[in-house]
Amino acid sequence: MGTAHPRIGVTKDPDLAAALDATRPYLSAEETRSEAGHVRRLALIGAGVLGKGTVDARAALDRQRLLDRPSVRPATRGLADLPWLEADPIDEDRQASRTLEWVRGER
Amino acid sequence: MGPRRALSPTTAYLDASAAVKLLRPEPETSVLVTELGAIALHVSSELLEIELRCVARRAGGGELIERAERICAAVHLLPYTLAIRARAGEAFVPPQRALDALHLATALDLRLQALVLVTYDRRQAEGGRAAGLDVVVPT
Repeated sequence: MGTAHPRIGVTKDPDLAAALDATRPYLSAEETRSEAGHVRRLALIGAGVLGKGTVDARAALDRQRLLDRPSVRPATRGLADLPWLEADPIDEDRQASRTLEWVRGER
Repeated sequence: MGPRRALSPTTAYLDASAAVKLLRPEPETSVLVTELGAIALHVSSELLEIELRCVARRAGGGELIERAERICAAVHLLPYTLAIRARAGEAFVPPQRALDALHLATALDLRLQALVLVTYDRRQAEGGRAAGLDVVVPT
């Protein structure tokens, strides 16, 4: 389609191809008629979500950045589920922080 | 690039001095858990796994080792890369102990805008702030 605006090139690598496949069901046929149009639509949606500055949106982006790093071992569960923290009493004489001092050679 | 805004943290980098307080409850643990619960992502260096295992073994082993594994499974663990080793060997103000420097270098290598370093080590906290990290000490 003719346009007065400059064009940009986008490489359709496996990650982008997967993103297009994953998001096609959520967009209309009109929005995904061409791959360039599909990419443009995703960019505008992504900009809108991030532009709102919600913590969830930024966390999703940061999670993807983390997972994109080579050799990262992803978390498989949450920190909320540590039942012994509620069941055990605080014992000043058996604090693991003191053991860490020994492990780090501080005492 | 547009102006940077103060952002609510999306990512908490756990130093071992914080993560170890999840092995057994300590006076600061409740506040720490609340603070971490408000942050979506929890990350650390893979060194954390070694430190927690060593603490668990020194403190008696058994169930503590399972707890250490469970804590580590809830944290994205970052590898000990060439770039991180190089940064850890550069200057920090104040000077850091080796493991503290490795944790700081790993947190810095993430280059995430909304990251906080969670630590109970005063010297490491000072070094993190001087290097540009946001630091929290939940108490």
